Amino acid sequence: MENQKENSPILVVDSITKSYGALVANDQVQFEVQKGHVHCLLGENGAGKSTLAKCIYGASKPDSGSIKFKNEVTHFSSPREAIRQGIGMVHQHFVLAEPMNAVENIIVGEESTGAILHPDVETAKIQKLADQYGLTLDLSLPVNQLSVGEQQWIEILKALYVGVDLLLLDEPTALLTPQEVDKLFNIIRKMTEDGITIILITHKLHEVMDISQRVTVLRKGKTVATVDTADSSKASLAELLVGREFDFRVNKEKIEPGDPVLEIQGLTVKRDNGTTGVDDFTLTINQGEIVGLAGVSGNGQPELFDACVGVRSPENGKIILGGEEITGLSPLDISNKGLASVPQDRLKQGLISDFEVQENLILGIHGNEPYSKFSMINWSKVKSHAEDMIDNFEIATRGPDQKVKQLSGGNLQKVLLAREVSKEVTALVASSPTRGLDINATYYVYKRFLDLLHDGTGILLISEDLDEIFNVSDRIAVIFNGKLMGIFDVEDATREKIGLLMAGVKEEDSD
Amino acid sequence: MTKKYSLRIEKRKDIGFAMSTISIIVSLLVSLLVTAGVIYLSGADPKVVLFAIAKGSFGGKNAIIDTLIKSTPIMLTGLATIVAFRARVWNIGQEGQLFAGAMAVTFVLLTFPNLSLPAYLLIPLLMIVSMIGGALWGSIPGYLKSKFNVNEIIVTVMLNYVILYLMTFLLNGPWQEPGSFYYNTIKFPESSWLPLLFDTRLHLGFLVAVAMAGLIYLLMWKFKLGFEIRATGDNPVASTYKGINIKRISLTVMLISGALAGLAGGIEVLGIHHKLIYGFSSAFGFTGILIALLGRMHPVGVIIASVFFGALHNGASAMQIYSDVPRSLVNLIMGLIIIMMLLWEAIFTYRIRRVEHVG
Repeated sequence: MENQKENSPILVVDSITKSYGALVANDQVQFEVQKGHVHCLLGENGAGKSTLAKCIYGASKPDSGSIKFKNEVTHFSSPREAIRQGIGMVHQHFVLAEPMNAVENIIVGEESTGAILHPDVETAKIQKLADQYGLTLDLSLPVNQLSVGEQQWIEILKALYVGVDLLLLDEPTALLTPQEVDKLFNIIRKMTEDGITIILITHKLHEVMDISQRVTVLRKGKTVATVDTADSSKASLAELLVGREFDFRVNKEKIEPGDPVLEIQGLTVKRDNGTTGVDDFTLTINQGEIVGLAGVSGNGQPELFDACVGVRSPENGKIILGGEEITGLSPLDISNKGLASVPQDRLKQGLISDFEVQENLILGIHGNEPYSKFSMINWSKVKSHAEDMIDNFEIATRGPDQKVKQLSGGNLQKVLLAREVSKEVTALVASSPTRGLDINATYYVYKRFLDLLHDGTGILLISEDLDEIFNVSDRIAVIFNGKLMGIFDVEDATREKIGLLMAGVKEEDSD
Repeated sequence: MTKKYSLRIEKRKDIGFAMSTISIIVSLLVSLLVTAGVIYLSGADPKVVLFAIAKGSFGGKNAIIDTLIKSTPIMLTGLATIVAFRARVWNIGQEGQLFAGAMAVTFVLLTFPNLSLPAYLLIPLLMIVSMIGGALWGSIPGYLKSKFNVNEIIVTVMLNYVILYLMTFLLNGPWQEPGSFYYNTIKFPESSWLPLLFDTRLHLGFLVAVAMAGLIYLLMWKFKLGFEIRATGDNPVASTYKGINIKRISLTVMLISGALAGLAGGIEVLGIHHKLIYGFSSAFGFTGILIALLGRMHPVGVIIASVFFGALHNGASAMQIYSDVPRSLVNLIMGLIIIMMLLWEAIFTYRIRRVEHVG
């Protein structure tokens, strides 16, 4: 039995090529997955992992190449057929109907239930599965009342319920706390014991090391290598991943912190629906330091960001920028007083995709001299400014008049950063500034941050990525339910400590 | 290894100026073909009918002048549409704002019958009055939207009816010419009539409309306000984050849009009818929306599209004389063009590419 497992691959991907326009997302990709394995697909953002998963799952048709599942060539025209054959997928962004409960979400689209539903029968069936895998969640609650982790259990239960043999998990840990990640990995191990094969898509090296038996590394759409995890190390995988060795921590000299540049004092901010987003939050950022704010998404980070930049007025508390109170000022005034901001969603909150590079480079400062005078925009100044910025920030663009929607993610972020620092900057508030960027672009962003620190700026870095927080912060603060859970020098912080606080567990009540 | 090729359809990121122009030309040609088919089915000779339209709209000096006269009000309402739609403020109330402009002019002339200003003062003054009238009517949905986030589509559409009935009431009551059987006011003093140009029926209003197109171009692409209008329309969230007051922008564009539509109304009564008369607008306000769409939301496009529509309207009269086809055929053509444009634009968003298979 054991022997047979090793010898018969359940999935064979043979020279899959898939392109979108000029972009080749998958180029002759090939690998095999053994039955009962956890097989990782490792690659940077944009390496083609999700495209490959879509091809396997039938959501996308490869241009050429073939996929064999259980020794048969597949021709899925839709995910529905893939599910019928026993391939399931949990997407990075869950596809659940929020007002409905877990059971309803699991049985939706399932044909065996027939036209008339028997919720009790189905609930019992699903509860049994949940117990079997040690998943504790209330099946009767509407999905929007469950945590992100619990929503993921639903997706997994759905796959178990339809009885998949192969389950694709697309970056399943992106939104989870470290504790939830541990739980997820335990469930994955249990599933493989029951003969289910798992393909785990990730860009996190430690996850590969923790859970997988084999790993296929993708780079720029091509398979670089497929190796046994036992024969690999984080460093060797990293080398495959980026094509060169790199050190994990940014080379960063310590700058002596100076005066406070951004002081948040007792800040309380409400969400649109009236619930409290930020709750009596106090934090000070000094010149020359990066304060990383760790937290699971949805714990008040967007409201904090909005209050700082002036888009949302706080209920209570003060925000002081370089010694001057800015609470309740308009976004324009706050920006002109020296607050730079990098919002979480570049294309939605930061840039105007139908605008040209040069137009985006003056958005927000378009009313200031020299870009405009007597209410008229001085386009020759705008253009020469854009040319300077394109050179200075190495923005890959056809020219100042190219629309930004045609730029890549890294270049979008460069445009945004270039704009934000092309004024006097006292402090920078950045929310997930490297999300979706590849390693080179990420390092570029960090390099610019360091330049800002040297110029006497302080940075508040809001991020859900603990690696990022640990890599670049001087101090780490944790937010949970809108409250400050603690703040540490990076030398004193450990992942475990931060992880517990992110989950809302203070040390005194943990044991 | 053999090479195989297949064709694949994929979406373009950006349609681009050239493709956009081609798609307009294709839509016009296809609309023309369909129209010819309809004429043929109705039993007439498409060649004769289409020739009649062409002759009526561009055949000779008088025809061209009439075409330009007809294009004047819809050029202005088209511009009014651009300003609002560029900010994604859906002003559907150009018709009502046009009435408001015409009524403001009428109000001033009827209230001060002894206003003995020379024409070179009176006419600019009346044009400004018509713009104020339109802007006031546009300010209602603008204020409601910016203050209470009330949907401007509903408010502008409803206000069209309100002012239409108000005008009908006035023309049937206090403003009606004594003894008249029709709904119209007395003739306005001659000093308020728009001067005619080049010894033809073409009035000053046409030049004013073209000048306004130039001003709107400058506003949208050279002024800070235009930058903010376009930014608000393309991404209100990012605009808010970058300090643009999008509520103020939506009120501002309603005022400008209303003023332009109001000017269209003022020019129409001062340049053509020399009195306020029921039914003086044959849906100029609504046509303006089509003009703006056809003109790709650009002032130059609006000039071209409004002259084209003016020609169709003008040609329709000639067609009715030379053939048995009713003039409502022109409405069919206009509707077809809009549908075709949307269709071809959607089609041109995709491109066909040859892909190579190795296997």
